[in-house]
Amino acid sequence: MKVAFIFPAFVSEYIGNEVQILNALSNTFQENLKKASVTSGVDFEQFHLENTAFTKDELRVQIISYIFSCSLSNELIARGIKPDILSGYSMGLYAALYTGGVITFEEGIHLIDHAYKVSKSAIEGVDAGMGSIIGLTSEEIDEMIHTHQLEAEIANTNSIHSHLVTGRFEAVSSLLDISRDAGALHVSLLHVSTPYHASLLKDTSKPFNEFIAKQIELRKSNYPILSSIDQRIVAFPDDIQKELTDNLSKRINWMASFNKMLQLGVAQFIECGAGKSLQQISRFQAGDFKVYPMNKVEQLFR
Amino acid sequence: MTKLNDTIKAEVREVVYEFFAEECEVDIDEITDDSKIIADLGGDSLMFLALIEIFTKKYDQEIDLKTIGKYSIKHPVETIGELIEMQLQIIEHGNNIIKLD
Repeated sequence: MKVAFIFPAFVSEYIGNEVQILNALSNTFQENLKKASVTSGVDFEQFHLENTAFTKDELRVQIISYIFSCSLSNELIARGIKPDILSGYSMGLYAALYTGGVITFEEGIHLIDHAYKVSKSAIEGVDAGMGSIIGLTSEEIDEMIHTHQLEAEIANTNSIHSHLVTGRFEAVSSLLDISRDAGALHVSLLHVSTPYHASLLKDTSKPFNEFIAKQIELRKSNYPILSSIDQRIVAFPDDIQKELTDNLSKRINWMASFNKMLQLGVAQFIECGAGKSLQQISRFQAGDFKVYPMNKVEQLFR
Repeated sequence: MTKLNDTIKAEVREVVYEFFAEECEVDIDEITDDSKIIADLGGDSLMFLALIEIFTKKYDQEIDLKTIGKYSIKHPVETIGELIEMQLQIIEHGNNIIKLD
């Protein structure tokens, strides 16, 4: 039976006891908070679930999500649970790269920070956003975007009837309204002002590439990494660099990634991160598999 | 479309209760028809979609999700009891649910 480590992006909903779970396993999480503080200049040791400085700020949310993910994957591997494949959902890519030994923990923080800065720079003066549409197909959403000539696009397909959309804020907002009227079961704006996986961020490629080339020493991955953009396996530095830059501005398809992992024989998915968003999305996948979010991984240690 | 009977009503209730107990990691005895899906159980809209898929498979229905979306604008669901009622309407009326007041 093959095992996949899957890494969530931004944590928006915590289970509630993630810190206690990690602290009970070892002091890795606390050490990673310290390392992140030194690397970023932000005191991550002040993190707790009620501290909105870490649960509302977009960049800090990304970094704290990365810390949770890296800490858990460390624990799993240290206890002999090794992945056959890694895959990061959206910005979960950074933790996948860390787990594969492609980057150091600190390099991951630098990558997240720089990706955020080049993304903000690329949309300077542009009011952008992301939203969620449940109950419509990608074809139905694309048709509405085309018909109403909206500067919005699908950022990610979670399942046949669940998508994230991105683009200019006004366009995303209109698309959500139109989708609701068309019969979507649920639409919502996300607390994200950066239009990840959107063509609005295409100008990030050059500066992000230059940053990676100068500042980050990408290594060959110890485990195959599945691209959430085109579902190819990436393992070597050149491919990984392309994945990193494309990940900011290209549409991803988590449903296809999950299906690909099932085709490759994965039956056990371990959600390396806080929350259980990837387990929830996996409800819509057919197949004989099990997803373990953080509060269930203890079952694997027995 | 399926004619409702007591067996189907009991099945739907059982599936909904068991679904939310498992997904929300809540003791099934703590769930009542008045439990608010989001506020009390921590549920989400993806769960609603998952349940629709479970019941369309179980009762071999072909449902256009958009008809349910339009229906739910007029009949928003907040509690477990309301959700069970809507699922029964879907099972009974299929895509014709949109024609109901």
